[in-house]
Amino acid sequence: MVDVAPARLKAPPAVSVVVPTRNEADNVRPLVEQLRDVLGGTPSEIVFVDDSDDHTPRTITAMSEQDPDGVRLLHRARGERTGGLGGAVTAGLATARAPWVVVMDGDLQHPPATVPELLAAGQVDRADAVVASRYRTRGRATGLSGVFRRVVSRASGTLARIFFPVRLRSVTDPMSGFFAVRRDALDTTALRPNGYKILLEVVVRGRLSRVTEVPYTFQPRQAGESKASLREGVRYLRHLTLLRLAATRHPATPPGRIAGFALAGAAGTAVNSAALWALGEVAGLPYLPAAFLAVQVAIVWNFAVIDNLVMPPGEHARSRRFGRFLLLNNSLTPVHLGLLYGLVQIGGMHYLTANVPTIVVVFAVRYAVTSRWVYGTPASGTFGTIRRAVRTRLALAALLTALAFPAVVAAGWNGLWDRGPAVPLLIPVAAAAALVAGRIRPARTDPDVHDRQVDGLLAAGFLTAAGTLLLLMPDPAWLVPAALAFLAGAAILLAGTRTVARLRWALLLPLMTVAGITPAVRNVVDDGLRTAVTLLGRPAGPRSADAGLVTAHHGADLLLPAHQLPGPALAGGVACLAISALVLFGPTMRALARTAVAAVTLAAVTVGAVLLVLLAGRLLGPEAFQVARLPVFMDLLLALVVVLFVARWSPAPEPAGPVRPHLPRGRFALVALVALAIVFGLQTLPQVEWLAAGSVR
Amino acid sequence: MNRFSARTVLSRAQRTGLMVALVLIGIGAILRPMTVLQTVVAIVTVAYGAAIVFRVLLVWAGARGEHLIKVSDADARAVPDADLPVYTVLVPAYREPGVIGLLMSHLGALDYPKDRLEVFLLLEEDDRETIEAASAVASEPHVRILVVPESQPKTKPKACNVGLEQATGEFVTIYDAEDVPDPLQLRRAVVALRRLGASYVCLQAELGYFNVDQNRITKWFALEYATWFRSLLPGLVALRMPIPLGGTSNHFRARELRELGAWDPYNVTEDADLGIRLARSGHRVGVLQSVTLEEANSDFINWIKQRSRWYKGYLMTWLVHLRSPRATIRQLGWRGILCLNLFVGGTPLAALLNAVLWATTILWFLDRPPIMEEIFVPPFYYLGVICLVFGNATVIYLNVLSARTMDRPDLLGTALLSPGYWAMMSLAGAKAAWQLIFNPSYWEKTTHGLHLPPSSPSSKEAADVG
Repeated sequence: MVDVAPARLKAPPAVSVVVPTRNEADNVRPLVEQLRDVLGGTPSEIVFVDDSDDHTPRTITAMSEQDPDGVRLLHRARGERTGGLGGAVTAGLATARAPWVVVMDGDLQHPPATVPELLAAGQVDRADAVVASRYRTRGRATGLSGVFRRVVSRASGTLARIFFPVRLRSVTDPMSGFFAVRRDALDTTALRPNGYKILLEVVVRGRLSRVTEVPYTFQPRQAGESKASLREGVRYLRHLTLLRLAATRHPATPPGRIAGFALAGAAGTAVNSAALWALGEVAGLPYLPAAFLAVQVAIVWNFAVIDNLVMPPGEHARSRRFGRFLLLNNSLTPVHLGLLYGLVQIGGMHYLTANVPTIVVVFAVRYAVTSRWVYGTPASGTFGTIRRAVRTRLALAALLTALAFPAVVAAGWNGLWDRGPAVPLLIPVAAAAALVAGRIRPARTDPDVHDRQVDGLLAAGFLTAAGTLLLLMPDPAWLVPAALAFLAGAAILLAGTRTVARLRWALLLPLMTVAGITPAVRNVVDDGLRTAVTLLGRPAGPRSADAGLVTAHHGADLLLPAHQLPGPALAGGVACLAISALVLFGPTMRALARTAVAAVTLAAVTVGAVLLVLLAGRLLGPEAFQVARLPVFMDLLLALVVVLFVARWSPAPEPAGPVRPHLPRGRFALVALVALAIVFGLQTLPQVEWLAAGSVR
Repeated sequence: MNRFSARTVLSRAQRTGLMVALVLIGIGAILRPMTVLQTVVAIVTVAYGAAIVFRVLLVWAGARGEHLIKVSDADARAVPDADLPVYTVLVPAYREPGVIGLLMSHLGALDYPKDRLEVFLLLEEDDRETIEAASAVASEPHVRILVVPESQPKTKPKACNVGLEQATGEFVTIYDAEDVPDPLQLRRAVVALRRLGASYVCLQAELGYFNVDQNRITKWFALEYATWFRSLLPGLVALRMPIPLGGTSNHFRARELRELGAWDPYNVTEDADLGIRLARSGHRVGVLQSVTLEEANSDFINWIKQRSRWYKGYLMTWLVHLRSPRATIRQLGWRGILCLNLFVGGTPLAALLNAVLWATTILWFLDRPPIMEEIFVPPFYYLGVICLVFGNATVIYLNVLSARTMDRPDLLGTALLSPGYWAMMSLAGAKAAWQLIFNPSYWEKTTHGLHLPPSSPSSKEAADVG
């Protein structure tokens, strides 16, 4: 028979006691004995982190040999003792195995009898950490020798509470070296111990939210030397300041970040002004280049502040973050100015008033894009990266199309301020974007077969078609088909035939603006809108007159002209919804039903929006009415509703399928496309007419 | 055989001729640009018209009599096993581990005595996956795996030549890995070749598709194949013209095939080339009524790749056999020359020209540029209009006719939508032309198995959980 040695089947520890020691040879054995007494049957381990130069480690090793699971030694030889006392505790915390970790000194000034109380309080209060406090009513700091020491200790604790009033609100003794902490609430790698008491580190850096206290009485020293000294106290102040700074940096909550972002932006404005003054007045540059340079200086400043103090670093490299930040902020300036121009010149607002909503909008965009694009985490895995790259390339194709066909962009822009007979470009473009977003991922049935020559030939065909239309068809009605041909060619070159073939219907949506809405349809829709609006506005509401919808403000009539009614936008929106449903669900009853629901919703939103515009005029007067009736607001609203529906209908992204997304090499293609876009753009640039002041009918 | 290898696409004489022609055209284009343009348009129009007329002629000739060789089931089965010759089946495959299992069951269904059958799986040295998959399933003694040693060019005809060296059969045939042959096909071929006598060296079996209804492309493809094998090839047989063979299911007498030099490893449509070479040496080829089902290419890009390879091969074959025109005329006769130019060279060129001509037509309707009135001089302009109206109508009509011969009235819509298929052909033609110049020997690999359902994720997850 084989001799079977009795296996020591011991439960994993429920509590780890971490004891930093330094020259405590006489104290460790009684400590272990007392701890064993008070813990009783609770499976536990005692981890000594020993920085001693005397025979303390020998004593501990002797105990550890009798009970290898119960007593462990982590000896830090001279030269390895980073972080002093705090470093020792951190090292102990890192090796602790139990869900609860108690930290206490090895000099028996922390009574082991309090340990069960700490654990019990942790369980009862569901706390992340429990502090043994000398200053709670029952506890007394009798063990500290001398009045001076007592005052110093109390003062440093109070100081800490002044620095961290919120985090330490329930802690009376932040200087305590005696506490219990839940192991999984702790990230030992985030701790930066610096000699002084570790509790502050744990609570502040660990961002522990639930901390409670248990009173205890500080025991007189039994043996060994005390380590508290004035020098430690001075270091403590510095540490506290750094800790405060670190805790303020990189706020964890979104409101904190937004506030930091806004503060940084406000400071950036000051820097911008100062730089402008320096460059313009002192260096004597003309004001436009000076302004441009000042903007760049402010952007660099903002990045430095935001990157170091506000946003968490994210996963992009700093240079990449800076590049994106620079690009984003520079591209937002034209948006800012454009919006301001529109509101002032066409909406008739005073430029100072108009600047407020503009700043709000641009700030929101800036914050959203910065937090997601600059500081977001990159997509995980190759699939995600490629999908993101495909998205970027499609956006690039759209941008190049805008560059090649400024007249189309101008038409879309003008449509925002004045309603023409056609569907505003914004709505089909938004619907197409939503449709594309839902279909970028390859379908399960897509074969992994790609061919660059096919890409090249197809793209050449499309680009030739675009060029031919541009040259031979001067009529502006041909611009959109030409732009779409260019878009298709660019997208094929940049994202590959298969991806573009999957998105083909979405790319065709903007053709709707060319096809236009026949007057018959438009009149029916407009009449329906008028009826609904007057019906819902009864009895005091708007009237329908020949010239349009009329409301009154202090006896004066305000007119929403018939040609400014959102009929084309509504009709176009419904058409977009119908086509999207057809693409997503096929020719089924389901598609029909969903289109019907969405169309009714869209119509209701339109009626509501028209009522709101009229109400704004009635309540706020002609100036507000002038602004509210601008098509841009209503069209944006309708586009948003359409996008929400299409996004809702789009299938949820399934987990990465067997089909690998494909990304062709596109550097040469990109260069060629940019060149072509510039040539095309120069062709139509002279035709471009931006809608200017006073041209609104 | 070296003389007619597509190793070099253009011989030195051809190259010189082309240079001289290009220089002359260039000079002409500088001196009298309008005359040159008019001449080009005239030649193109006439050639295009001739190709259409030739097609109609073929259909007419093919429909006039019975030119398919028929062997009834009873006749095929009647031959006693002892009288059957040894038959070698070559199956070249490259990177097809997924279909090898199916292949074995399809070949196992062939009604032919196993002791007289010799199946060679021709696999490439670097294709470990397929070799392993094949070793796992090829258990029967008559199936042998031949690993083709790594050497350039790495093409299907090279593999077939390696297989032919080892073959002991009196007859040889080729199947692709995804083919589903008629079980009686080998017996039918034996009976037919014995019945037809020594002048017939090769029989081409009909090809069809098992996944006709997968999508629009497979439907178009099926219609096209029906036209090809039921109308055009019988027409070529009826007019005693050379037949460009299809890639699989051609049954040869092994001895004559070897004498002819077997396949040209540099030609990417070695089958069509072989058809012309058979005709040049005075052998005859018949079309056997026995269907091998293949997988119709169901994917746009995959289809373009496959078709561009065929077109490139046709162009290669055309150029190769025009190297010594006098010898070609002597050997092929005027009928052969007609077929070579209008059918072998004409098919890809027509596909390519189609795009140009359609673009011109659309341009004309959009803008009516006056220069076009000058380019199209009256007689050729009218000829062009006739081609546009009647030519297109005729080709669509031929497709409708094929829907009828297939007895698939539901394909009528597909037949009427054929212009969409022509656009794809034009794209393939352009790709073929590009590759002929820059990458002639490149074998555009077609992906098979796209008719199989994709591996479902749910079963995979279930397996993971289980």
